[in-house]
Amino acid sequence: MIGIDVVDHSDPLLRPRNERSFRLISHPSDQHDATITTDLENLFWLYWAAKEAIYKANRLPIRFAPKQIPVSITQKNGSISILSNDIQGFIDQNNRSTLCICWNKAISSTPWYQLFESIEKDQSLEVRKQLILFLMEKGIEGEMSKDWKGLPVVNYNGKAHLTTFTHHHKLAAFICEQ
Amino acid sequence: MTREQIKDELKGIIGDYVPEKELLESLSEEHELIGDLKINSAHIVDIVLDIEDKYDIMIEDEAIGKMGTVGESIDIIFQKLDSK
Repeated sequence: MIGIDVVDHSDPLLRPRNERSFRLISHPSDQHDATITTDLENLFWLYWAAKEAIYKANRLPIRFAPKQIPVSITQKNGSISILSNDIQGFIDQNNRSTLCICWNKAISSTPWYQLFESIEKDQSLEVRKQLILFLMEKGIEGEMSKDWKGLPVVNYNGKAHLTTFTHHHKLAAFICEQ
Repeated sequence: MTREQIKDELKGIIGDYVPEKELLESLSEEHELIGDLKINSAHIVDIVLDIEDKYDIMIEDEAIGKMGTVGESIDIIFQKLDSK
């Protein structure tokens, strides 16, 4: 179980996020360290990216319903971590983007991931090609495939490895099991 | 207000967020907002807020998980307008 989500803050179509937006995504068990941010907009995107990454990691054939996903967001030594049941991860947030990656606690090594500027119209295809290129640079010949649910995996070294993609506005990213 | 009128107005709202405008030409109630119309999931919140502003209604908090298709979105608006 691995998941990823990116929000590109430069998207001009994004409306400001405030209390009104929060009611659409909040779970009663959601919690965060008060020291992380006092900016409601930044906080919204931390929760949103975390919940969407967790949703993708769960690989369930259900719709994304952020209010159904509890998440705990903590900060230690400047790093922002997330926890939701047996899924852990971290968030990198700056003025340009919010990126969350997460994985099941049972996975011992941090998955590979990459965030990049998207230049192609078909971002779904572009992010898949980027993953194959990323693996090639590591001397790995990978091939995209799907699991029995129709969700993406990448085959290499004789094994299917979980992978998840995300793209928003001019940014795209992937995460892949090592 | 008829269902068809709401569909036309919803088309105007979601149109801003549909990256490939030609997809709007044959818009049907079965179209999935994310899967078929390729709307980024982050914009579902924007669409809910736009709908609330346009109709002066408050959409239920769980709307994001329920507004999967154009038809389901129309249902939610219709029900809210009906109980107004």
